[in-house]
Amino acid sequence: MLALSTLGAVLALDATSLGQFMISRPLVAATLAGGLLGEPGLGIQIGAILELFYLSEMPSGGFRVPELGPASVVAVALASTTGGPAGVVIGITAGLLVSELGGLTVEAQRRLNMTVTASVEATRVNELRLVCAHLLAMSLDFVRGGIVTLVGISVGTQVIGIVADRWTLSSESTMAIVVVAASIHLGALLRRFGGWRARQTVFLVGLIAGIIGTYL
Amino acid sequence: MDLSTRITVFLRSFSIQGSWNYRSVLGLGFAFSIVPLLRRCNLSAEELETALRRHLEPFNSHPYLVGIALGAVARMEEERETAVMIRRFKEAIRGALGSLGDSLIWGAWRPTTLLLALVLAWAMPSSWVPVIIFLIIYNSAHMILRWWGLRLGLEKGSKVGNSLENVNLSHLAERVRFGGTLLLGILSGVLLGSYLTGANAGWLWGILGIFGFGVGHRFGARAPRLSSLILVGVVGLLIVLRIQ
Repeated sequence: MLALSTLGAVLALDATSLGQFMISRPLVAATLAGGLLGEPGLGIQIGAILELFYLSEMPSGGFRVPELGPASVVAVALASTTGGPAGVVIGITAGLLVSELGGLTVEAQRRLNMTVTASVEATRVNELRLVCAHLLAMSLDFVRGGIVTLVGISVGTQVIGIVADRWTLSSESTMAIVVVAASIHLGALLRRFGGWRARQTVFLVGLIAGIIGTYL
Repeated sequence: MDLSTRITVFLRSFSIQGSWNYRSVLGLGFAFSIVPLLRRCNLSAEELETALRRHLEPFNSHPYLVGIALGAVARMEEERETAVMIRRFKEAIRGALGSLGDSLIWGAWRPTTLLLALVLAWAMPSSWVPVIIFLIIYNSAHMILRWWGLRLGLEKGSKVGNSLENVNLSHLAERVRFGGTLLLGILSGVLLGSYLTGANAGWLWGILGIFGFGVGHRFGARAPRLSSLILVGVVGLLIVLRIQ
């Protein structure tokens, strides 16, 4: 649990505060979490599915930031605990929920950062106080990410005990449900890329290649 | 500006969003990053404090392009431009750095490199190779953009806006989106063939998938959040009803 929470904390930093090397994207974060649990294959499966749900999102304007890194760690941890198709769907569902709820903690911290920055301006501005305030804000983000991950896994583990054996659909049907939901995001991404009218030829070429690819 | 100072500012700029907040946005991060450059401008203690306070003021930019503003402002401070001119420059440049970065990186480069990784993840048995390829390809452009931005800002100072127009980053974003659309088509075909039409009652799932895609395309950015909540609701319902 400590390793997963620490990973969640590091990923939370990468999302906004430090670096933004995209290790916090579900595809990477979930694979890292799967690696920690000795199941990188499950990690990249969960990460790839979760990634579909966030591909089209664009952080601009009043957009609320989803908490992707910690949410991906929670998703893999719960999927690994549960196993089978139930694990996949519970992990994905938990990931979507934690991402939204975690986003609320990001907003709360950004309000807290206003207090931190105001304290620097309140009196004489010197380099040391400025650096300390900036590092304090990042430390808070690190701790926040760890807590979101820890709470997500702890609560999720309790819920699993109740629901895990109630998911009785086959792996095929489970994946079909998830992919249908994800297809909405892919449609939104095509629109962001320029829309059907402008892109239909290149999209259809890709679509045909993809379909052929599945039968090779 | 000597190389070690540039590298220090370059590394500090990775935390430009470290204290992101709703009032000054990147203000504190900007002041934190520019301190090493201000130290090089031979300012008195009073002048340094005044300059730091000025750079704590609200500022926003795409994090990968903020080096353009950092470099240009450092050059202006070095040339003892007036506070009014520096403030006016920052006001003018922040909009362009935000929209250019959003369009090129968040709206084109990131989804396109992720699509490539997703196609590789489906095609390859290895778990790590797609992830490593994505991180290398994505972050190569990321690092180049950051370093190029800082150097451009230091070179051009307050005239950096003209240089930005010549580079035509929007045209670059358009090309990336074209490639992204091809990858999106491939991924959609893979998902359609592997998980929808390949499942039991595949024709039904296939129709639902195409319908979902159409809804997403029709409603754009408003659709995704709703679909996630719909999935959570459907899963919850199926668990409660324990459908066989």
